[in-house]
Amino acid sequence: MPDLITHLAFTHLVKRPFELKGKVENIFPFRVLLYLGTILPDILTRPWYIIFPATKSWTTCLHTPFGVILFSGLLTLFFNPVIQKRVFLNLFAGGMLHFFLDFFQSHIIGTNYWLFPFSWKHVGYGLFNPGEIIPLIPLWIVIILIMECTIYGYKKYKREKLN
Amino acid sequence: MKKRLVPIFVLFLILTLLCIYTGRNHPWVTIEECLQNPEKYDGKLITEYWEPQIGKIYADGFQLIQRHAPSLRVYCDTTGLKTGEFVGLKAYFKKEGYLRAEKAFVATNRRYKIWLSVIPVILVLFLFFYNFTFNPKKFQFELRTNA
Repeated sequence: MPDLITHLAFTHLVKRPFELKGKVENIFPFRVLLYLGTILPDILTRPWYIIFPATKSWTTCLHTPFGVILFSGLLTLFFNPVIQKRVFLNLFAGGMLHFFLDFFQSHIIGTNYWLFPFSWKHVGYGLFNPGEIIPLIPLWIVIILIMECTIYGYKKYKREKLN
Repeated sequence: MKKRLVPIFVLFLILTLLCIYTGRNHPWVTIEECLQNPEKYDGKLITEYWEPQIGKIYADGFQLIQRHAPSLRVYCDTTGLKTGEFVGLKAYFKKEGYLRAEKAFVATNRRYKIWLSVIPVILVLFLFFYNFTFNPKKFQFELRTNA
């Protein structure tokens, strides 16, 4: 897996351009759920096996699309029924963006079990080594800042045009 | 709340069963399994290690250190390896009780990756509790009205 900052930055960069319309108070809480969804596969598994490595054999299913869909469903049930649909969709989409990025990570032996529980076949295209993209984190932050400034400028221009 | 109890229980049960299924039917081979039955696993590719680190380096390999798991001698080309670093390994178990590695390299920045990944977790949890509040009476998260 790439580090979670890269995961979060990627999710933000994908989601943000779709939020040019609408009120911030209606959008932001659900974007937080998208962020939560994107870190969910790793926080459900990594801490446990970093502290207790033997748990890896038991928790790997939670780092699969099927496991994340089920866990997102479980988590959704702890929300107000009025917002449950949006909660689930954001958690689910976040999880899938996580797996999308993991797809491009290089492995010695594959660990992307997208077809679980039907198959243990690894699905992936080894494009980058997760350790090697750590120095690029400042670049993601700069790209996000540029995008945020652009969106701010665009919204300001639209407001002024309306007035 | 009563209405939600059944689906919560069902999903929790399915996830628990999936974890048990994974634990019992996973395709990877661990060093512990090999050491328990060396004859059976002779020449098998080891695909899972428990936080593997490089111990003492020798001319023809190094000592593999794992957390809560046995330490083992690995025979390989040691170019670029450094004691104390995390290691990426593609190695085969030998019944005599050592590993023959086809590939062994330092897992670059793994320590940084772990610690840097803590930051987004804290950030997301902060943003989550800033935007949502837990209503114990209804046993559910609700949007904060002042968020």
